[in-house]
Amino acid sequence: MNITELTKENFKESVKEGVSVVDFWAPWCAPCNMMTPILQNLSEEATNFKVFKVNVDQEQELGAEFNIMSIPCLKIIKDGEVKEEIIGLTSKERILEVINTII
Amino acid sequence: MEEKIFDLAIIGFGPAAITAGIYASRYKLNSMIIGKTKGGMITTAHLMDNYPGIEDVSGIDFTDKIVKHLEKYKECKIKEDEVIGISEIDNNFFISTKDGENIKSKSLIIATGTEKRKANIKGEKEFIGKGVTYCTTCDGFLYKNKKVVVLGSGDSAFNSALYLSNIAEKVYLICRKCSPSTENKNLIEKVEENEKIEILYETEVEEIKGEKMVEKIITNKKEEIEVSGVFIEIGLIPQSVLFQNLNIEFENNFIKINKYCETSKKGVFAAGDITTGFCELKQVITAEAMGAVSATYANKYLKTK
Repeated sequence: MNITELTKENFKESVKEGVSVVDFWAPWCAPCNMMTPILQNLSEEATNFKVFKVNVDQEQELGAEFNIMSIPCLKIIKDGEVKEEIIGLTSKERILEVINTII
Repeated sequence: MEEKIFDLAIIGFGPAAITAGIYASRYKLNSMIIGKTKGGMITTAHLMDNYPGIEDVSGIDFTDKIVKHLEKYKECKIKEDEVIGISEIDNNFFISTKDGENIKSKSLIIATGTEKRKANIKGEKEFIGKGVTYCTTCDGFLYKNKKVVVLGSGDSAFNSALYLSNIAEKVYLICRKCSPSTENKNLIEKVEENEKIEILYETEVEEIKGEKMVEKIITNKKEEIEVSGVFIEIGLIPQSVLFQNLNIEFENNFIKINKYCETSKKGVFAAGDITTGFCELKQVITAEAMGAVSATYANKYLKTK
């Protein structure tokens, strides 16, 4: 199953409860494309958090709201509030490490 | 642990490594490519237009094409993983990866390329992802109608400035040297004629400042320039630390090779940007040429083993 893409219409509602990993990305960004299988894998194994994506090319307002100045950028959100961020290509282990500090 | 021994292990996943994989497959060598970044540095190129036969192609599309070509051959296994250790015992090479695999091989091609050099400026590290970036094609469009600065005087800095001039309000190109270090006259002309780009020669950035995000830079001439983005394009450093214990010769951390892509150690070949190369040119086409040569001479070496 593909990871749900969020838009400004459904963003707040989707991340308002629990822990969410939101990947801000764009199609022409090579490191972003390399993150895709990692996130896919993470999403399939996730039991106590959710994984979403935001295409910053289509969702420029969300990009600006979250001060996205470098992609890929992962925001780890708990109950609607950004708790951590990881910038650049990263490993599944690193993402899990960060999630575990929040859950 | 896998007991199998490969004829050839190719470390790296850029154009040099992929070409070596294709050639090795055609020689029917039982080989494996191990690399963490499919396509390597070329994936960050927004446009390549100097590769004969393929016009106007993006780095990502080009990578897809060559990886697909490699996948046609079943002889070369592909492993997307990071090599963390390598050693040699009795002319065989033992490679350990981050995923915990141990790979044994009779010969080796090193094609791990280079990575972007950091500038070591005050504030650089703190503002990574908050205005400081090393990938113009990834992040350029996030600076729409903003002021940005590009650091560097080579080909990639001039290309970045030109690319950003289509997006940003204003581009400052800051060169430490008194003239461009790229030989590409066509590119220099385009940059110099571009009204959005201002080139500042003999200038260095001393500090990057801002509250939460980058707001300005301070130069060695104590000039303050307001910018939202700092694009660092000051050259490349070879990814060769891993191979220091193989007892091969280096020159400024680049691996020394001869015209057969042989290193100073038997059975170890090197290709692409990580090498001293056949010449100074670091292009996809020269990397691929080295990939082809290295696989050819690895094949010859294996026959004598």
